Amino acid sequence: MTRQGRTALTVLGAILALAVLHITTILVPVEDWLRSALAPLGSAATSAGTGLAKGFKGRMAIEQCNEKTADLETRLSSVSVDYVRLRALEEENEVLRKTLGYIQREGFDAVMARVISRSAVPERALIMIDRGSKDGLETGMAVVVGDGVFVGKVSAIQERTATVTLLSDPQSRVAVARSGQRRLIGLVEGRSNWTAEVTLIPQQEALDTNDILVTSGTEEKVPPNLTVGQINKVESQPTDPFKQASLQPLVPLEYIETVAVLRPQALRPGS
Amino acid sequence: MRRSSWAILGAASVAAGIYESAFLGSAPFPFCYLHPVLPCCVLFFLLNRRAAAYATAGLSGAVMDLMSAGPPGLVTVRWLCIMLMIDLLAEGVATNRSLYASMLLVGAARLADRVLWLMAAWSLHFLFRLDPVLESWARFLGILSVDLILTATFFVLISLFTKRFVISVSPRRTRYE
Repeated sequence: MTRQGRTALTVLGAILALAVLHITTILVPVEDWLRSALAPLGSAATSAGTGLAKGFKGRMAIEQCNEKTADLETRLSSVSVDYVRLRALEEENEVLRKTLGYIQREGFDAVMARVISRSAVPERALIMIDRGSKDGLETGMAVVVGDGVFVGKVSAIQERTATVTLLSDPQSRVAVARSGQRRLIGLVEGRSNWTAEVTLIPQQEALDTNDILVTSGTEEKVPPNLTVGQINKVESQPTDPFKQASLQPLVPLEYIETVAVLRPQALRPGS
Repeated sequence: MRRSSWAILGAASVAAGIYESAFLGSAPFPFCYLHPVLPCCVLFFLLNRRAAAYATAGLSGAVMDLMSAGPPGLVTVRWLCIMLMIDLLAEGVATNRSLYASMLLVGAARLADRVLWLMAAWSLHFLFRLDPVLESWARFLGILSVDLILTATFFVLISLFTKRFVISVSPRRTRYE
């Protein structure tokens, strides 16, 4: 047999052995351990890439900066009005809670996780985090950043790691409501390139630019009232049964480095 | 190769796998087009380090498969198959160790990777109902261009600082001997 024949046989044998060991799940614990061991390196590399991307993005042209400032000022004025109104409502709510002796029990706790890798294909918005089924995570759980801004859902789970589908991924679907209302008004679908669209909005639903959308709470493992994004533009044809709107996520999804997975308290290990 | 060389190669392969799986997902232009594993493996073939090429492809591919956030792309299998193909091409077709041969081999490797990825995507769709989204052709062409530039640079650097690719002819011999 020639040298190349021997090499081909060795390589094909190795591939076959790997495939068999993987399919029979014999390799799964080893894979999980290796993934866990490589997680710090992955996290550092992701962090370095994100830092570099932020640095490159920081070098914006003056026209772009002016445009962005004007846009932000418009939004700020609109949000300021909402803020004043919400402060008044919050104070009223506080008084009511005290009066009624209301005890807030959300029933969820947060599991902090680091992003250890991101999908290299720009059309997909997937991240891998360093927490898995060992930490009580399950498929479908909500993933948030900051003060409860919803960014995606756990879509695949391993023992020590999990894959999160961000809301801008083409395969992501999230049921949303308007802020302050628990009524489902549409579905947020990812459109890649870090954008998303709200679809299936009934024509009679009054939805305006700058409206804030939140999770509706109709999904079992996603609590209600998590901020999802802000409406950018509403598109409606009188002949269509539904209208749609473009949605701007409230956090830059491409720069996320740390997230929190919302776990129902009943699933907390040891509870 | 010595043991220390193998250790360095192993560490570098793991680092390259981490770079391609974790760093590239968030890296900006032009880094997002810089995929160094395949060009490096082809250069190993040109330097007559076949075992090193297979080891790099296998190890980096395994790290990619383990750490990629996207759906499975069977990177280890793809890259080992590509190494087999490049081995055959380097022995039978592009036998001279020239700049053009190196670029041809890298181009062939990248194209084969794309074809195998398409085949893997179809198989995963029909067998497991998974839908791995492939990168666009425009992005593929960008990666291919950077591959060729990277290969040319490495080739010139190796030629400048070593005598690996220099064809030496004895001055005593005539051109017909």
